[in-house]
Amino acid sequence: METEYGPGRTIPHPVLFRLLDAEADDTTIPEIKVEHPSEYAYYPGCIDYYDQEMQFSHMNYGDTNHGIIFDSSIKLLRAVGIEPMILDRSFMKCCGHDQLWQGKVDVFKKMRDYNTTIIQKLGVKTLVTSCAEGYRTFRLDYKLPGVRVVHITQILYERGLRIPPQGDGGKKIRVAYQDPCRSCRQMPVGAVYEEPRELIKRVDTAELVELKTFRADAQCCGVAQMMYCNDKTKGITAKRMDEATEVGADYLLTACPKCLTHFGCLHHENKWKPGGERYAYRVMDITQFLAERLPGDYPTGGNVDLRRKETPAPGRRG
Amino acid sequence: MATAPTAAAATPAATPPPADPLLAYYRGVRQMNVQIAKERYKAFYKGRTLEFIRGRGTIAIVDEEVCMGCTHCFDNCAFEAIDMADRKFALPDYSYTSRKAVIVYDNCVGCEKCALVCPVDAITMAPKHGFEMREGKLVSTAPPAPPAKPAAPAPRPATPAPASQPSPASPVAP
Amino acid sequence: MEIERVKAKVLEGRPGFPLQYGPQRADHQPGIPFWPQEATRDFVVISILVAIMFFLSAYVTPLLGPARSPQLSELIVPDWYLLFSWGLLKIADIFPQFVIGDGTPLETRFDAAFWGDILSGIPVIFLLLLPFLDRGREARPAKAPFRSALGISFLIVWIFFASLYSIREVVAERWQTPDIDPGPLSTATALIPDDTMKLFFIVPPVLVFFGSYVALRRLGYQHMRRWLVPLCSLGAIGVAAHSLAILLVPGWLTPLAEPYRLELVVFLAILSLSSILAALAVLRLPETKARKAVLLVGAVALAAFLGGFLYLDRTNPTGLLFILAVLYPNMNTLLFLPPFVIVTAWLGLRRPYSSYEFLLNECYQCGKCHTVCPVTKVEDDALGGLNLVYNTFKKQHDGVPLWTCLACDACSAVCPLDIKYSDYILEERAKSQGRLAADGGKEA
Repeated sequence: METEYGPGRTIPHPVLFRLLDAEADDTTIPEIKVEHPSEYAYYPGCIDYYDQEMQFSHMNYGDTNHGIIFDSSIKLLRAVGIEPMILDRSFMKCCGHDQLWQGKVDVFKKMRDYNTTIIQKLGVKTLVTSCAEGYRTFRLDYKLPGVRVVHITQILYERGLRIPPQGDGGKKIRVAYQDPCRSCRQMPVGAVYEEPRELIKRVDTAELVELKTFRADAQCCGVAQMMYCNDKTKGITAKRMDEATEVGADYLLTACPKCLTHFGCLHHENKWKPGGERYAYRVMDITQFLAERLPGDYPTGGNVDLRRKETPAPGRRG
Repeated sequence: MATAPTAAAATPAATPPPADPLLAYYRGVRQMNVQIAKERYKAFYKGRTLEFIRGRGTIAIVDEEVCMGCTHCFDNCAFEAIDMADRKFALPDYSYTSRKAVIVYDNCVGCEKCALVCPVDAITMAPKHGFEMREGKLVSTAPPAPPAKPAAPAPRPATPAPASQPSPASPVAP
Repeated sequence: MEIERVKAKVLEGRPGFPLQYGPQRADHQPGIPFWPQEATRDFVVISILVAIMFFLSAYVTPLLGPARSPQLSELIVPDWYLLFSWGLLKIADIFPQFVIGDGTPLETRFDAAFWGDILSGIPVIFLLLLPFLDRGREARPAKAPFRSALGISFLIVWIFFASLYSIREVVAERWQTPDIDPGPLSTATALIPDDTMKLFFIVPPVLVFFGSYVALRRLGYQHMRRWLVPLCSLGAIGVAAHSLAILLVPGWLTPLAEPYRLELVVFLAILSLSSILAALAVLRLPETKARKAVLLVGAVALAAFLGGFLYLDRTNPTGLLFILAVLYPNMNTLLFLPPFVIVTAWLGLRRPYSSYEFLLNECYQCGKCHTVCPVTKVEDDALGGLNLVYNTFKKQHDGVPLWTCLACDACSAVCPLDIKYSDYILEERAKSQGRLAADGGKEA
């Protein structure tokens, strides 16, 4: 199939991008009723959209849970004493990262102008994101004077998040961490290398193991800006996941929902036949990992998608 | 925005809304966001169904070059019409095993669910053999079956048999 | 292990790293083409240097008058290119003067002559020692801001003010009696007291040092527009302001040129309007349109100007003379600035600069980027093996076409020259979609 980008190359997830482009078209700024004003704002981004995009598949059934990132972030922020205002999708648009990197600059500009106006209007002083691509976009590609943009791991580290002892009998779990390209290498200022590692080290039962390439050498997860999804990009992802197997990890953590998507997709796909599992570790976001180890409920009630009762076995369920 | 967010329904566990207004705010916002995402996706998936033809006369076709073996279609086919064939990929520096979708044509009913969920648009719906698109409608090209022949009239009952035939009453000489 | 695999490939003779080095190399040598890129650069630099020489000798010499030798005049004025040395000699009297070993055979006089010799030798000695002092490998001024700022302030500004100090009497003469050619025995007093003049040796160079350092650090890697906009607008404003002053401020215009006011207005309008339009084009129009607009403005202005000259020459030669009498003394703003604005605008908007902005031209093909790029490891068409950045600069996207790049910046992380390849990708993708990116989506 010959497309404008070359043979076999289409930008995947057409419904997601059509939806985001359609959202961007409506540029009227609505009247926003601020229920809980605060100078801290949390921007979830397209978290729930990823859940819905994988709606008909394994990923929304508990294997890879994007929405829980939203819930975990709020729980963690409350644990360090921040009650953020949520810049949710009823009045915000997508940050526009993918559109910018796919060359659709005019769509990005619409989203950027809209979001910037609202952020300034609400008087936000600190913008917290749980997405590495959002972090890069808000920090480098948006102009937000007077607003400090932080990744959630940064603010948690600054505020001294403490994870209570887990009391698991001293059994150590091996935790590998994937450095997202967007928040680490691509940031000339404000790269987030150490904060997630420090937070992992604060969990007493977790033992941080480094993958073969890490920090500035870390290999990309394979599909940045949703540019392609084909055998070759899957090869990149598979290679990265093999590194986690080599190092004997029990968990593969990441700080970017995109990395989570790609790892999760391959992770599930590789156990489509019961008993044929290739990757023996769990893939999750770092916020979920930390929030699971904090006592208490999720203030948001957890991911209330009704289908998430338990993790079903892979295979047909259509 | 195309759809307005609807009010959040009560969670199925029927927990009462928390007294703390802040928690109520967080819970409300969270549920609202899930609802928003669901509704918008429903609307756009509905729009996507218009891209494909579907029905009895259609069949799904997978472009193997584009397919990346994510098993979304396999997970969603209710008719066991997709199978995943193991493939080995040898890239210059790395090789790995994966799979590609293969349509089992005997079972495919043309419901287009696989085409809808494929994230890379590798599946297209095409008219089956014996069907074609005419003026935007899918019609069968098979000639109509000939009308059934009327049944042959029942043979008249035979006249009473001649005397040569032994009457049933007369006993046969032992 | 990566190194083993790479070595194996090289020994096997697979396409990857070149096996031949030296003049016998049979594969195509990459390099920046001489024509038109390097030729343009060389031509521009040569023209600027020659223009500076012409400007100085054409502008400075008439101002000073001929050189005055000590035999003929009390006021000694060397040739213009040695004025700095004379100025440094003159300032030597600020140093303490003493004698060591008075009366002995080893008597050394630390007097004004001694200090003057040392001072006037400093620029020359500094230039001689420069290759040994400046051990950095960077050539671009933007990458070596300290050295460049030092050069600008102390080699240029200091020398300028040294020259000025040496001829302050001549300057005073010219200021007070501009119409009279100073004779060999003129004795005008300096305008500014001597002690204050000496401050000009320190204060302007230091200010210029800080100013140019900050300017190079902040503007050095910016988009070319950041340089073009101030240069062109200031040039245009200069021309326009000067023209308006000539026309409107009473007493500025020579009374003799009064009857030809209309023609003067036309000429000045051509000059100012062309610069203003060029500056506006740089400010408001997108890149390709601006280039065409500037070219058009330049061509039309030149034609109009020359046409006006010829027309006046035929119809009203005396008028032409008086107009020249107005333009000539003010040639540095009226005649030089408009072409400067137009040529700067046109050169600055040209396409080759885009690769210079992302530093792609600096790549020296070390190949580290290619080794770490995850996409080259999975793409079948990963031929060439060399320097992915350099191939992009040559517009040969070997192995990693524009759209398969993940923009993960692994290449930038290992590049010794810190070339930001993903910034280039962002701009090129937007351009290919027909939209200008530059600066990540902000207005170009």
